[in-house]
Amino acid sequence: MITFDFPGMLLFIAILPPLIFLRHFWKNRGGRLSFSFTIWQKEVFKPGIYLSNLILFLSSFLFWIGFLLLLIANAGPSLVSRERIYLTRGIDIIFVLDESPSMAGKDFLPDNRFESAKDVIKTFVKGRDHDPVGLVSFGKNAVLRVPPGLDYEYFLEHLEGLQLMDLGNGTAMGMGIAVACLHLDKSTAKEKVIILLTDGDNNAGEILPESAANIAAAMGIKIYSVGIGSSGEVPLEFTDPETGKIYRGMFESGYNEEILKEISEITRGEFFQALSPGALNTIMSSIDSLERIEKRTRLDINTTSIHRELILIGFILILVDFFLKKWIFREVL
Amino acid sequence: MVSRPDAFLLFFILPPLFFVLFKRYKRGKRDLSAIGGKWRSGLLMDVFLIKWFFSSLLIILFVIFSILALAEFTGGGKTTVESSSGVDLVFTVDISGSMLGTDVYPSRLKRSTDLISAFIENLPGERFSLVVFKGSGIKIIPITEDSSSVNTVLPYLNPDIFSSEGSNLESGIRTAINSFTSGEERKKIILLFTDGESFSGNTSLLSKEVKLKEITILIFGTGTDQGTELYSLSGEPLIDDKGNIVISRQNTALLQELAVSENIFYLNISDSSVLNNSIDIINKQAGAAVISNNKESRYQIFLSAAILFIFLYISVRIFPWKNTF
Repeated sequence: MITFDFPGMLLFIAILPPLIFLRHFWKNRGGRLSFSFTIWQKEVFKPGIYLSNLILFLSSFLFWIGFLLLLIANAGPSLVSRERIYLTRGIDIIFVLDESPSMAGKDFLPDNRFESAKDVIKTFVKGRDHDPVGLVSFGKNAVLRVPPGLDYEYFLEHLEGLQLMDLGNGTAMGMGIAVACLHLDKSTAKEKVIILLTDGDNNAGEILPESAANIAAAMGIKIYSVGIGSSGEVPLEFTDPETGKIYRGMFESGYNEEILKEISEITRGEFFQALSPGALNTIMSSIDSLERIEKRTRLDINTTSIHRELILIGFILILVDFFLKKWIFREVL
Repeated sequence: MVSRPDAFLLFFILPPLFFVLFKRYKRGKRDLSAIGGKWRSGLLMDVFLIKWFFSSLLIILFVIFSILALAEFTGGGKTTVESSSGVDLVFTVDISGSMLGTDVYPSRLKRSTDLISAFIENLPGERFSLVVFKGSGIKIIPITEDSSSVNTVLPYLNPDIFSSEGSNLESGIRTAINSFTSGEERKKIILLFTDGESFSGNTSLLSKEVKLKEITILIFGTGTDQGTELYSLSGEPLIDDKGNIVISRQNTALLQELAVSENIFYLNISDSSVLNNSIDIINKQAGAAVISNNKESRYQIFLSAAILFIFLYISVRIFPWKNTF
């Protein structure tokens, strides 16, 4: 956005139209010499060459543009940018996402559980305001994908790159929570939150979910656990990232509701049940509204003055007109 | 005080301007007497002389005052003080093949990663990011308080993690600049680890950019001026096209050249006090409040005069004198 320190100066632009009229269209204007053809001893004047008329017109045009730029520059133009400075620390949030093969369950149409979970996380993160977010995924093992930080672009890029069964066939839920806790250890945030999204029971890893939840509770971390999917027989389809082989079939779906409830209770969080993509969306919206803190901000306004650029361009344009007319076209006055 | 003295170079326009004006005077007289005829030549010459004198004077004054406006005379202004609330450090590591040189024990790259670990240990509570560069810069870890994520990655840094060739310093620094997040009053510091050898990219405009964005850069020169041989995976010394053994040296001159502005520092990684010295610099930067004096530009006085002169210059021509021209 452009602002002016002295907007009143822009009123001087109003002198341009009368000046242009007087300089180029007024009948009695000076700088012209009338004379009689009868006393002219040389060849009769011929109409001007089109190209030179065009150059003369362009030259005058440059002059008036230059004049206009000088008048604008005199009003003190500046480019204004605003930056919101956060004076308070946000909430640290780590998503712990199950990427075991069962997350390919096709009861979350049009995609599957895994893609639906990724979509709601994306929406959730885009809606956050200066809260550091991190990402842990787990299969047979658990790894940190994104450390908690404010680089949302980096987060979303890495979330998009997640693949089912990248970490083997298994559900190391306890390990996932433990890894998230480990990476929240250095956090200075007053509130730390883990959002666990899974569709299965802990069946891999050295740490039990209850033990991991106790560690989280000791560190003051709240865990929201979300059980994804319906119970019973569910169709499944996924591609093994290592072999590229496509697997299709039916499997007996069901997560351990008791453990998820227990984890949330230990850490003063909440347990949610997502039977459909719509329900998952609503759950994430609820967590989003539950985990909001008041933030103090300040608006910094940075102005970059552009008068110098305008003066320089205006100055050059006027001189181009001057040299063209006086040197090339031999204008007397 | 003049903040843009480079504008005075425009005064070199004046000699050609005088030349054109003088030439116009001579030719103008000749052309007028040819066009106007002898019977009114006296009157024409009088008006021409006066008009030529004033229009020449006015265009010269316009040029002089425009240049003075461009020179930005400043004065007065307000002093503002901004304090910071922490430091964000972006470790930017060159992982080109030459960083495996062993003229620094155990290797240039290993010494760099050891120093990074020492920084993390000695600067608790700060935020860190890790960028590596070869043919281009890549953000490995975004800005985070979670220093363990940086420490976890450090042992795995080596030239083979990316297939691109070369040592694009510009891309590395640019990726580091883009790693900082906005919306906070934190000091921004880039710690650059490179031997500066066979670098590519244009770094000439970077110093201006980092100054504008209030970023400090500490350049850690890895390697020695004597250099070292480089070895292939099979353990054989690398040989160039002419059959000579390749010697890799630190490009000290380049790295020192980069550290020309007040916010860019050069340190040698082989210096025994490099850690203490650089932590001193970081702490000074972290504790230092940004004091800026926004002096007011007085360009408007000169620009208004320049506009007035160009207005009068047009008017001299527009209005006919003595009912002549």
